[in-house]
Amino acid sequence: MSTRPTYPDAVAQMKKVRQARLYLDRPVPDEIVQNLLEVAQWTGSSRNTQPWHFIVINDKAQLKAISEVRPPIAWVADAPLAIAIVLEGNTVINEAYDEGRVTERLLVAARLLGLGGGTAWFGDDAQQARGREILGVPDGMTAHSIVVLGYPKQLKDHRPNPATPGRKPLSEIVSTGTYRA
Amino acid sequence: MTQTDTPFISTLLKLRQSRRFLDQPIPAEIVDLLLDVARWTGSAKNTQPWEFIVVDDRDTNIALSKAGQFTGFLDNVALSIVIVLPESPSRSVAYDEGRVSERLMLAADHLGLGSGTAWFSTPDAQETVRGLLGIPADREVWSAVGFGYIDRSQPQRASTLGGGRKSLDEIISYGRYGQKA
Repeated sequence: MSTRPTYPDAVAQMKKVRQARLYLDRPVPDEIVQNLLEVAQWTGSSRNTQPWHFIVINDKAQLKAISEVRPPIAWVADAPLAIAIVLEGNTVINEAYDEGRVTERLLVAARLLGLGGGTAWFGDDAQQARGREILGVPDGMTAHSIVVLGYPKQLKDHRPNPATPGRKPLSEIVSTGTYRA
Repeated sequence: MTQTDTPFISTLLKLRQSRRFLDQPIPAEIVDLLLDVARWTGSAKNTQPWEFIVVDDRDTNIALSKAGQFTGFLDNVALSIVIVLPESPSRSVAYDEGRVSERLMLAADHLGLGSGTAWFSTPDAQETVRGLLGIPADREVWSAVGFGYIDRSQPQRASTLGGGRKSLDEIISYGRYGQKA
């Protein structure tokens, strides 16, 4: 018999996925990490190119080094775990789209595993170079972001300059048939 | 906090792109759920750089299916959601487009629907879509997500693409690129 959750539950959970940037001081168990890696592995990509490689980061000193790449990602220092997404560096836009896909799937999976996740971006070219250095990424490959994971302490954006919360109403973003018809 | 939900994870792992659908409409309340899930997707600095055009007209979907090189399956979807982006989209907009597409496909799966992405990858294809849907010159259109009830009597994979995924060993490192656990 299927134990799959009924659709309103799963969809309601998805709608509640928010960035978590503050975490409890509690490690993420190995079997949960393994689950997340398999979720990443099986994500779809443009023409099944799978243009990614993932680096699991759970070393405090390394997380701290990443957090110092630029001030808006200082919160990474106190996370128990991050998964860095390394891309092949062939097609910028397709790989960006695929990076977004795998990130979203990881964030949704994290929530359904009782975790919270947040994305942290390295930033400009020099900051990306620093990120690649910390992670030992070979020349030619790119690394733009990491997915940070842990048991959430709070979901409110605690940064000095928080992003505006909430979303535009459907009436503002949806048309039927033709654009803004 | 959510409970650990391993059945959900196993369904995530099994989700694949669908391309052959039954001739069966999607109820309006299911479409509303999809749109609301899309609306709540996270984006860079909460910019929500998207608008959506819901296309449920078969002739329009057939016309869209002829627009691009990898859009053929739109000819038999019950519905497509075309994603409209701002002018001159950046890499981060492509990433956000990937996030919202992935979330739509995850939600579709949990609503009993199959789905797949269609790329309008050339300027010609994009121009065709603009014309069909009345998208103005100061907006960009790169892709759509097609939905429908899966016709399980037919293969879903594009014959030109390999299935499966690279092994975890090939795509995962720990701490630094190439370093194993």
